[in-house]
Order: sequence, then structure tokens, then C-alpha cells
Amino acid sequence: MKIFVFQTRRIGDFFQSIPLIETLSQRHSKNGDEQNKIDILIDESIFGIRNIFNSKINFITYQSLLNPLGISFKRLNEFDKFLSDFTSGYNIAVNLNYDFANSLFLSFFKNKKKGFIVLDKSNKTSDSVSRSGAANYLFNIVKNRSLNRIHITDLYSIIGSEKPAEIKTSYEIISLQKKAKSSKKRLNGEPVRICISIGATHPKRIWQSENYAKLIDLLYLNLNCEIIIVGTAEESSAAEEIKSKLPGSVYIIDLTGKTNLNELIYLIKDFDLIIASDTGTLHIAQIFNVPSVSVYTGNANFYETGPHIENSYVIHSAIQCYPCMQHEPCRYNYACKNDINPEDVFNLVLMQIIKSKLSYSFKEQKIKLSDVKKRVIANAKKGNFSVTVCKHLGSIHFYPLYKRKISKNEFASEIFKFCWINVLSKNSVKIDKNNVLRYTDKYYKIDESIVNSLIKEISFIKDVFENAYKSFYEFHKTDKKDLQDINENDYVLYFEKFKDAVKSLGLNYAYFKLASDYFIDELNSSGSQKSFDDIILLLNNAIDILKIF
Amino acid sequence: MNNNINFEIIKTKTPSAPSFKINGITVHSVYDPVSEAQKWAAQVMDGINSEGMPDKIIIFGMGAGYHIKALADFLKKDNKEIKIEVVEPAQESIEFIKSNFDVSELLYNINIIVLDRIGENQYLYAPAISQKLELDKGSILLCELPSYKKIFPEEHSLIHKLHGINQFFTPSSFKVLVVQPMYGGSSTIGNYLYSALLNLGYDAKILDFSKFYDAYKYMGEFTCNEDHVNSLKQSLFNLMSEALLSSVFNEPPDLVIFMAQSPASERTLLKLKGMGIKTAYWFVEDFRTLTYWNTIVKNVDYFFTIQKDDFFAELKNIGADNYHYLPLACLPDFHKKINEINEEDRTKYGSDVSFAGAGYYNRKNVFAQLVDFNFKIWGGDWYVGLPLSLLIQDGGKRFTEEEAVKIYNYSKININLHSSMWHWDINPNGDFLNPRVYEILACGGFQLVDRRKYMEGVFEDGKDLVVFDTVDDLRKKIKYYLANEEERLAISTHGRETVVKNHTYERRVREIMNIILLGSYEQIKYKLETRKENISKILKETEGNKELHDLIMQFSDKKSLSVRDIVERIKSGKGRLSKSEAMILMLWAIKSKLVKIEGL
Repeated sequence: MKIFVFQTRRIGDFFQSIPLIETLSQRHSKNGDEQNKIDILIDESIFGIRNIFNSKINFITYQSLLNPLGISFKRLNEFDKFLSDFTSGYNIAVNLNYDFANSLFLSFFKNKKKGFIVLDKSNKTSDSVSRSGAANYLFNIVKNRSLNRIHITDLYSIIGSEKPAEIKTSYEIISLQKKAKSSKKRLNGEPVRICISIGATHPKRIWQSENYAKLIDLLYLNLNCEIIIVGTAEESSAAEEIKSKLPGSVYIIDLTGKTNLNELIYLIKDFDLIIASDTGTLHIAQIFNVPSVSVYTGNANFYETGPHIENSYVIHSAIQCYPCMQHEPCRYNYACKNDINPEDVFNLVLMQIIKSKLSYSFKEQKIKLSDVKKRVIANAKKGNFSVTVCKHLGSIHFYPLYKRKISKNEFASEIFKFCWINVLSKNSVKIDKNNVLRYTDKYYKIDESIVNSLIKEISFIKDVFENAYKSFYEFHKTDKKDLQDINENDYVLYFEKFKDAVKSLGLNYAYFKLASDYFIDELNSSGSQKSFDDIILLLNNAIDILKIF
Repeated sequence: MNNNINFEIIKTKTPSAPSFKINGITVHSVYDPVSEAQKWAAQVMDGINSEGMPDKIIIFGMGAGYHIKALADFLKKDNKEIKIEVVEPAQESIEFIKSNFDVSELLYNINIIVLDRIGENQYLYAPAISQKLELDKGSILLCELPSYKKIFPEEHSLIHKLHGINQFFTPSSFKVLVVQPMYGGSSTIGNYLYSALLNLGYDAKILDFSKFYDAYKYMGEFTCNEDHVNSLKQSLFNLMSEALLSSVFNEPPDLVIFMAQSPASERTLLKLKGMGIKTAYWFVEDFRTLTYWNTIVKNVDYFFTIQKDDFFAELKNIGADNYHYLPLACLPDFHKKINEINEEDRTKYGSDVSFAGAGYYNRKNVFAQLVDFNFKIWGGDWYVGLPLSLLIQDGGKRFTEEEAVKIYNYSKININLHSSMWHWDINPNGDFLNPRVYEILACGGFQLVDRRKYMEGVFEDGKDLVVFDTVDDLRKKIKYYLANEEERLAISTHGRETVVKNHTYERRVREIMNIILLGSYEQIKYKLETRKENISKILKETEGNKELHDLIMQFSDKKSLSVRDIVERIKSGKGRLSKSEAMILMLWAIKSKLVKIEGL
């Protein structure tokens, strides 16, 4: 089978799509597993990564596709033929990106098409790029960031394969393998190799250089370690700044601007630990199963793009405005960065080192996991930060390091997370209520009044949708034969009015805003039946789960 | 780069037609190279039959010649007489081919052009290649041996671009805006550059900021506080930048060339970039004296300099990779030899020895030792005491460019001493050549110039001009050449020929455009190709595609149409996209993505 995947976003997103590509590449045949042939359209800037994949995965860029073609009218005839020939060879095409060019391209594929697609004309890109199911959900989490708890790796997988990501410690499609660790070297006291990735695409996501310097100093004092800073040439000045703030006795290896993407991947795969903000480097490290401690600030939402290896630690501010939704410079003087202290990141590194069996690198006395954890918890309670740990429950989840109170909106998002996965996977992933109860109870103190209030409210919202659907169905059934001639306007009007009502629900019940936006978009792309079915299933699921608390 | 190129003959399933490998890549099919060549030639013939007969076919890659022979046979069979030229990317490969394959008959009938080691600096070689292949003459079909594209990607890309440029680019359809500073030598150079652009047929405009100069000087009248004066001057600079943007918004150019000291603020440059306008900056200053270049170079697409070596090292240090060496030049239309002597002018501007330029520190020291000659000094900033002040003409007023031409023409010897604020007399490490070097020569003037690093290989001492190293040396040479008129005239005649042949502003424009067109090939191609085209021509071109043709027909009331017009019409419509509509939108979106000028 031949599959075409569009993933033209940055390197981080590309690596977060690896579990999906791995899943798509495997076809179960009578003789065992056999690989499908996959062509991936990627951005020109990351074309070099093709060398680390096996031969079944082929990489394409728009440059390579269209270089021979100009855009003159004369060439349009040639392009027509090219498109037709090119797209007919694929059995499945999956577009993972909300991107106009990709979405138009997808519309030309002849067979099964998934993800973002353009079918209609419109001046507004958001109106013309049609999306349904998981793609619609992905589109709507941008404006409802704080309500989303589904990881992008899972979302990509659900878009392409209708099930959450299958996280592995190594992927068959990648030919580059990690070096085997030698226990002998450990006994010989070889230093642990710690990678620090300072950069991120958005300035709000970059932790301050003095913090990195302090952290490095702590690492150097307490661990037998080799510290390597990686990043692009643009990050060299930041690395210089960090180095200038380090005591003379501390030595680090600065590789910022000195590696190309392939060299960077080659290095990352064999690090013992990575400390990073929300960077492409962190996501590459996840694919090579490198343990991590990450610092999430600004608009980097760990629920969405956090490290996906089980037991990865994320430290983030507990400030109300995190994750940030503003595009402008911060009004609160980047409080979300200031809330995170190097000492706490250092403690998390110690915890990760113990968990990853790298304790041989401690310079002095034996450090106990429980002691460090207690320190982190005590500091978190005093300060304004939280620590979250990645867990796998069939999909990627994040839970606090210690049991804490949960607000009504948070709890609703936590419950909806399980419901959404069920809905978006078209019911192929069933909800394990015991798991939900066990984990939610373990990590959160839940006030009974919150549960009761949510049951009441969600039941009300469900009634609104069920009644609306019933009346629509009656309306539709009655006038069906004359719909096109006479009542088309009434039909449209009906939905416009109902959309307004749904918008109000989203405004009045904040936790429902993501679902209400999803419904409105779904109605435009997939029609009424699926939109109502999805939301009613979502709400029913939520009520069912809430009733077990 | 063609270094370490290796070859290996390989047997094929067709014993009579062997193939070979270059750097491990197989050039022809290992099964049947002859039938592969025939298929290739048939495809080329299809192209010729559908697109029309070209005047010439250029084939990239000689290989073992199977494909060339097949094409020649097809052309002969169809009675088509088209000239074939073959471009072979490396000297080593053509030698290997000649000694291992029987291509003697082919070589007799076709013209082979060998490019060697062009990968090192494509910009340097590009003009010569264009000229060799005569890419600007007639219609040319460029085709390639597919394996050569992989083996010689840099050479292939260069030929492909050069061919493309000659297809889509005409100076008259390219809008260039030259932005001048308020004052100074670079504004004169800006004027010459502008004239050269017009001479070459570019749609050029110039933005003159000289009227702001009075205001600039006037700022000092308001306050003695230097910080306040600087702040006022900065506000004026910002105002000029805004004025520049207004002009650009009014009529967007394709390229803006900023001369040194012009109002190129970061905001302006970023705005221009956002509009998809290419920006170039010609820093015709000494990088050691004026150091603001480090803020400019990061924000412009192309940064041209009159210095290399140390300057390039500095630029590299700050992470720049967009810099190119572009020395100064002359404008032969303006810097002319005066053949009809005007006695009045000769009396005023003539002398045994002259110097035209500003009174820099080192010049004052050197010229104080030449007061015993019939020596005239022209220009401003010569605040000196006697006896040098007796030599200063017109009370130390600035001279016009027209006057400079007269001075260079009527002086028996023109001294050219490069300025220095740090050296007592002659800067022993001076590198770049000032405009005077070229201008005196173009006027047919005899020039005595201090030794400069970049003189080497450009002008020959004793043949084009005469170089001095010390003041004593200068004095000796003045005396010698005053006494030897014939020798003086022979040198100035030769110098004139050299400068007019190799160092004109027209040539510099070609060099600039060559770098920009190759460097921004896709963006400029995209821009020019998507300009409005004649509607009847488009209707004719789309006749074979009914849906597309019908779509274009909707615009038949217009005279001309661009792809962008159609994109906008489609987007403003409602309902489902047709296949042609989706295709146009998609092509537009991809192209926008590729050239990174979304929304242009």
C-alpha cells in the first residue's frame, strides 16, 4: 500500500508524527508484518533527516515537486497532468497540517483522504480549510489551549490512524540506532552526558540564561557529567551569555551553531539526559527514548507538546495565565519564567537520574529519590510552580507530582480528555473507567460538589443538543422533498440560530468552549448528523465517567 | 566542486554500448543505453514539436554521447536543422570521455563547452558562461542528461538558472529604486549607478534626499547639547525612512539599492522584506572608518562592499553570508576625454599637477611637500596655513562632477592620494580603490596614485597608471612624467581603454543583477512570471484545457490578467472549487510558500 503524509511543520512536529508514521508503515499480512511504502511531504529546511530513515520512507519537498514548473498560464496544463498522475498512485493521503497549500493538495488525491482539506471557496482560510474529527479538534485547541489535554503526538496519530500514538522505545522506520550502553563504562566512572537545549521558536518559551548558568553550575558541582549545549547559530549568543555567567572552573561543550540537523540527531540519540524547553531537540530526544526534564513557559503547553516518554518531568509555572494565549510581549514581566528556579530543575534532574539508573554519576553521598521528591514538593507548595509527570494510559497523559486540589474547569478538561479520545478515534478506543478513576483519584483531590455540579451542567448541555437534534430531525424529515426549493433558507437559518446558542453555551460553561467550537466547525465540514453524534457521545461519556466518582 | 572526481567504465547488457560511472553514479542505463537514449531524444522531440523549434539546443552532459547521437538522428530524420551545443561540467570528465568512448564524429559536429570548477564561486563564472553559451541570443531549449543533474548539481543549477534568467528576465520589466544619502561621495556614486541602470534599460528610479541636508545641518542651531542634536538627527533619519516607505508603497519596486549612509533603518528594511522586495546595500565606505555596517548587513538581502579580506572576515564573524565584493567604476558617458579644447577651461582647470578631493590629514602633509610644482588643489576641507593655501582653488569650494571631468582632462598629472585620518602621509596598507582611480582614467587623464592592495591584477603600474610609494617617489615621478609627455600620453590612453573595457558602472550593474538573479532566482522568476499577461495570449495558451479556458474567459473584458487576479476572484467566490480553480490556488499557495512572500 502506498501512503502520502503531509507534515510540513517544523522539526519538533515532524518528530511528534513519528509514532503515526511507524503505525502507517506497518501492514499486517499473512506472512507477518510488512511495511507500507510511505512518501512524506516535509519542509525543505529539514530535508536532511531523510538519511536516518529506512528505504520504505521517502521524503519529498514542494521544491523538489515543483522546481521544474513555473506559474505561467502556459504551465497550468502541464501541472494539471502532473497532479493527476502523481496523486492517483496513493491509497491513503493524510494531511496533518492546517496549511492552505497542503489542504488544497490533499483534495487532488483520488483515494482515502484524511486531515485538513480545501473543498470550497472562501476569502477566509479558516472557512475554506475544511476539517473534521481529530483535525477539527487540533484546529480548535489553538484558541482553547488551556482546555486541551490531548497530546499532539496522539492527535497526529488519531488523524492518520484513528487511534492514539503507540509510543515505543525504538522505531523500525528509523535506521539510526542508539549506541548500546556499556555497564563497564559506568563502573569506570564515565560521566553522564547531559544535553541542554536552550532554544525555542518563541521568545516566551526561552528560560533565562542566568537560570541555565546556575543550573549548569549545580550539575557540575554535584555530578560527574559532561554538559553539552546544543542549538542553532542564532542561539550561539545565548550560549555565550550562559558561558559568561559560569564560574571559571565549570567547563561545558558549546555546540550551538556547529551542527547540522543530522549531526544533531546523531548526538541527541546517545545522550543520557536532556534538559530543554519546548524545542525540536526535546522532541527528537523523545523518539530516541532519552530521559528528560523540561521547562515549559509562555505558550508552550505541556499537555499538547510535552515530552511523551513515560515518567518525563515537566516543570511549569502555576500562574493563571499559563499557558499563554497572547501573541504580544507579556504584561506580567514573564512571571511564568521567573516562577521556575534552577534549584528545582536541578532537583528534578536528580530524580530523573535516579529513575534512569544513572546514579553512579553522583559525586558524593547517595541521594534518595524520596528525599529529593520531598524537597521538590515542599518548594512547589511554597512557590508558584508545578511539576508534572508523563504517564501512559493508552494515550499520553500528564499528572502532578503530588496529589493536589483540582478546580472545576480543570477537572472537566481532565474528564473530557478521555471522552474526546473515544469520540475522535470513532469509538475505537474505549474508555476504561477504572483507569480514569484510579489515576484521577491518585493525583487529584476532588471536591464532591464539583462532581455534582458538573453532572448537572453537562446533563443540561446534553439535553440542549439532544432536543435540538430531535427538532432538526423532525424539521428535516417533514420538508425533505422540498428542501432545495423552498426551505433551504429556513434550514440554513435554523443552524445559524443554533450555532449562536452553542456559542453561548461555550461562553457560559468555560470548559465546554472547545467542544462548542468543535461542534460549529464540524457542522460546516461534516454536516449535522456527525456533529450531533460526536457532541452527544462526548457528553454522554462525560456524564458516565462523572457518575463513578 | 569537481575536485576528486573519479570514473569507472561499466559493462552493460548491450555489449556494444558500455556505460560509465562518475563519482559512483551511473551515467547511462546498465541495460540498454542506446534505447534509453532514444527514449530521451523522443521526449526532447515531443517538446520541440509542442513548443516550437528553438534556435539552439543546449544539452547538459556529454556522457558517452548516445543521447546526443539519438537526438541528432531524430532531427535529421525530421529534416530539422537545429544547432546543438553540449555543456560538459568538468575538464576531467570530457578528457575521460574522449579517451574511452568513440565520440570523435560527435565532437566534429557539435560545439562543446567545458565548465571547470565553477562550484567555487558561481557568481564569478556566471557572466562568462552566459556569454560563452550566448544564452541571450534566440530561443534556446535546455535539456539535460538526467544522471548529470545528480553528479554535478551545482553546475546544473547554475546553467538552469542562467537559462531561466534569459527566458523570463528583461531589464525593462524590472523596477529598481536607488536610495541616496543626504550628502557625500556615495550620493555621486548613486547617481552614476542610476544612470547605468537607465542605460541598460532598467525601469529605474532614484530617491534624492539631498534636500534634507540643510535641515540636517540646521539641527545644531537649536541646542548645544550633543545628545539632543543626535536625537533630532535620528528623528530626521526616521522621517526620511518613512518618506522612502511612502514612495515604495506608492510604486513598489522589485529591488531597492541603498547607497552608503542612506536612510536604511531596520524597520524600513524589514518592511521591504515583508513586501517581497529585494534589498541591496552598496557600502562604498571604508569598513574600519564607518562601522554601522554590522546593523545593516543582517537586514538586507545583498550587501556589496569595496573591501574584501579583513572585511569579509568580520562579516563572516557576525554570521553574515550575503556579502559580495563590488569595486567602484566609471561612467564612460560622463567621464569622457575632452577632445575639443576650451581655452578658458584650460586656463582655469589646467595645471602641471592637480588634486581634486577633500583635505584629509594625510593629504595636507603630503601636498605641503609639493608646493614647488605648478600644483592646483580643488575641493573643500583644506583649512591649512601658508604656503599650501596658495594652491587651493576657488577658495576651497566643493567642485562639481562636471568640473572634476575638466580638472582630470586639463591637468598634465592627476595625483590620487587615498585619504587617511591615521597616517602621516601614505597608508602603506591601503586596500580599496577610490572612485577617482576609475574616473581620472576614464577621462583620459594621467594618474599618479598611491599603492593599493586591490590595484593588483586590475590596473598595471606603468601601463594604465603610475603608482608611488613615498613622497620622494611621488616627487621623482612627477618630474619624470612632466618631462616625458609621450610616455604620459601612452599610459593615459591605455589606462582609458582598460577602465572603459572592464570597470564601468554598467558592468557593475550587470554584476549586481547577476548575483541577485542567481541568489533570488525563484522569487524574482515568480514575481516576473506572475505579472499581468495579455488576455488573448492566455486564452490561446489555455485552449487545450476547457475548464481552465472557461475560467479565463470570465476575465475576457480585461486586457491583461495575472495569476493573482484569478486567485483573488476564486477566493472571493462561493461554493465548491473546480479542479482548475483548486489547481491555481494550490500552485499559488505553494509558490508563495517557496518564495516566502506570502500575501504578496
